[in-house]
Order: sequence, then C-alpha cells, then structure tokens
Amino acid sequence: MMQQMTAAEALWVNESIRKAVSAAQSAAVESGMVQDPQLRQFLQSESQRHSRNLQRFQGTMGVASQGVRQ
Amino acid sequence: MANGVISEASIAYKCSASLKHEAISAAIAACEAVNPQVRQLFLQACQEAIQAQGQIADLMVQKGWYVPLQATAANMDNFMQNLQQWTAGAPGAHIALGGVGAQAGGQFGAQVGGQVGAQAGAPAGPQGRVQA
Repeated sequence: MMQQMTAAEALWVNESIRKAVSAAQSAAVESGMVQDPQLRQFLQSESQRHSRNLQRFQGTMGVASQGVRQ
Repeated sequence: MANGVISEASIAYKCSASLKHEAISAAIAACEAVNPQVRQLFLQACQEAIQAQGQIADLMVQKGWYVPLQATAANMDNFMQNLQQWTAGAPGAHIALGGVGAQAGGQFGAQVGGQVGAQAGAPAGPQGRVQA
C-alpha cells in the first residue's frame, strides 16, 4: 500500500508528467527529421523512455490520488 | 548536406542539454521526496537520464559534433598553484595533494605533469585535439 503523497511530491510528479509528454512527442518528431541512423535510433529510444516514464508517473499519481480519496 | 549536418548536431546538443536538466530535476525531486516509492521513482528517472546523456555524449564525440578540450600544461600548472595556495595550512593538505604517504606535488604532480607534458609537446591532431 502506497503512503500518502505530500503536496510537493504531487507537484513534482505532475510537472514530470507534463515534461515527459512534451519530451516523448518532440523526440518522436525529431527522430523523423534526422538522417543519421544512430541519432534516429537514439531519439526513438528516448521517445520510448519518456513514454515509459510517463506511465510510471501516471501510475504513481493514480495510486496516490486513490489513497487521498479513500 | 551542410544544413543537415548542422541540424543533426544541434538536435543532439539540445537532447544532451535537456537530459542534463532532466537528471538535475529528478535528483532534486528525489531529495525532496518523503515517500520512499516516489523517491525511488525519481532516483530511477535520474539514473536513466544520466545513462541516456552518456550515450548521446559518446555519439556526439564519435560524430565529431562535440570535442572535449584537453587540459593544457598551463591549465594544470595554474590549477596546482591555486590548489597549493588554497590548501596551505589546512590539516591533511599534504595527503590530499600527493596521496597517503606522498609529499605535496609528488605522486599526483608527477603523474599529471607527465601526462600533460607529453600531450603538450605533441602536435595538435584533427579537430583541435592534442594527441599524445
């Protein structure tokens, strides 16, 4: 069972979600713009990493908000 | 295409800079977190950002988009001079400078001086790098 989140933690997680969405999108767009195969691969993996982070942060936020409501 | 090269180097540079900021933000968030799960989440994010930044930095060096400057003999002389000045009179200063059991400017000075001296005497290679 997850402990309750502090307001500061919720703000950090919220901000991280916002940044992860933006970073995942821009990395995906940039990977389509570059010709270098290594850089393209790196940008694709970055986009995936940001998407994974987004899911983790959303999961943490979801569990914490359920804890607050109960 | 020159434009293509510049744009790819710029994208890589921007990516590296954002990863550094991401690592710093995650580290601060981890330090401020009270909840152990949240702390762990940010620690993991910080570690992954540092790893990704290392990858892009390696790629940038490999492609010639980033050339780390080598320390010159003059840089190291200046550094050692300042270090000796700052640590003069501080307890254990001789240990910090030369390692345990060594005199100030002994072991460390000889190693650094040797490496830098060898590089400084050699001709500069491609991309402004000093080769040993």
